[in-house]
Amino acid sequence: MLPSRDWPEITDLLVAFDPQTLQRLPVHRQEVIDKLLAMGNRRGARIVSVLPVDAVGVLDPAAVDQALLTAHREMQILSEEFYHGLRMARLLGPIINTVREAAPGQSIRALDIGCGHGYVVRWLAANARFGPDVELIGADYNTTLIAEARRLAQHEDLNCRFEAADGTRLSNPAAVQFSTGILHHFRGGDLEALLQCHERDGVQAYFHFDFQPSPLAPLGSWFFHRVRMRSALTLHDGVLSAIRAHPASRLLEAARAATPGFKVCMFSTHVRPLPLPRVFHVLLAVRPELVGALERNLGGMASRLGGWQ
Amino acid sequence: MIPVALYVLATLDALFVGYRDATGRSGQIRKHGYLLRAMLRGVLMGQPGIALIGGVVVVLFLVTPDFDALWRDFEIYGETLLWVFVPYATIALLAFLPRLLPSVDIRSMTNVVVFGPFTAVRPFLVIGSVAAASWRVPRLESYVLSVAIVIAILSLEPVLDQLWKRGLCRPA
Repeated sequence: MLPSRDWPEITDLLVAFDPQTLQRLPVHRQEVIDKLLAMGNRRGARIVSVLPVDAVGVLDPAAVDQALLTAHREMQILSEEFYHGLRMARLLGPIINTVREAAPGQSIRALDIGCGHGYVVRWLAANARFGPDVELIGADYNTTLIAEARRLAQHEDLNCRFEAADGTRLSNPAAVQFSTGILHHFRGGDLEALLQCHERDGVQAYFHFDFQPSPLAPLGSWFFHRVRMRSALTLHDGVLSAIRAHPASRLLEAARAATPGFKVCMFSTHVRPLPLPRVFHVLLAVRPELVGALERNLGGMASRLGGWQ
Repeated sequence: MIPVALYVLATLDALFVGYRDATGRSGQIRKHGYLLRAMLRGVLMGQPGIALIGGVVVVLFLVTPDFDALWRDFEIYGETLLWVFVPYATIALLAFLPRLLPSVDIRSMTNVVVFGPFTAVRPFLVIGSVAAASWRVPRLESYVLSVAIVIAILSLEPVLDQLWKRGLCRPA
């Protein structure tokens, strides 16, 4: 059976957290397997069936965390081979400059929502030169991934911070908020609910990199993951990500509805001048009064803006 | 000359295998040292396999009743391998040049167009090349050597993987 857009990614099913306390909740392996089988995802069910459980069938949290860490390390290959850190820096730099110009003298916090093991934040801390007034923060509700992000940042003496928290609910929202590869995890109205978190005082801009759907994306994703990834879980979820990706029209629709206080557009959808779609496209939004300054700061890259809405 | 060229190519292949084997295992950002060690590990761990091939060749020469004929046939055999692997290695090395350009799109393209497909076809290329060489030199010694080459070259990646699984390699 061919994968469907409605299939959830396995990693979304393996962990559950209380949304208020972020306390980890038990996940029964058989329930996950039944859910996958009910959707016709036999391969996914097979992958889950080998994960260890305790006496009552609850997935072993340590084994699940190890599987997640392995998956995130493997997915880092994608970021490295597609120069995601550099792409991020080239967009975040002009946005930070725009925010800095609008409020000179104030420190700027840049937050990676759902940062995983913090690749982007750590890459930016290691390579980007945004200035001492910029604080790079990563947030993820998964404490294991955050612990790994902190450990790696400390190991490489990187100037960034990680919080085990729901990045959308931080008490003091960051001026610039961004993410990589999380939007397709939010289906239906959950997408609007996620984006609505940006509509808070203090947030000046947000952008989300996510897979761009195209007829070739699932095949390309399958090929890339087949060649580069080792774990069955990463291969499964990686291919499914490309299938589940939201089209630009859906992202814009959600952003317009959820964040009326922003101007929104798609950024960098194709490898111009070729009609070749990029692996990632970017949902970009800024406060209306910052649009002109951002276009100026983007310089030549302003031509990649898809038209403000 | 042919054995030396094949040795260099096999060592280069081991270096790339070492690199590829190390990817996706470390979350570090600055990993030049880590990857250099991985490539060195690939080269070193590749040597026993290359030695196995060399050993098989020596034994075959020792037991053959017609040394000169086997020498001529193995020259043809080796030449066939070079016809496959010299262009393969040349394209792979040339694909690093676009990485000097500032465009991340062009740099990424090398992965999509060259390194990804080249990684995917590598096992088929190894098997295909020895099959072609055996076809040009159809004798028992060619078949024995082909089996040795396939085992030696294609076993490196699983061997390196085992080193990780047994905790003998560590990322930061």
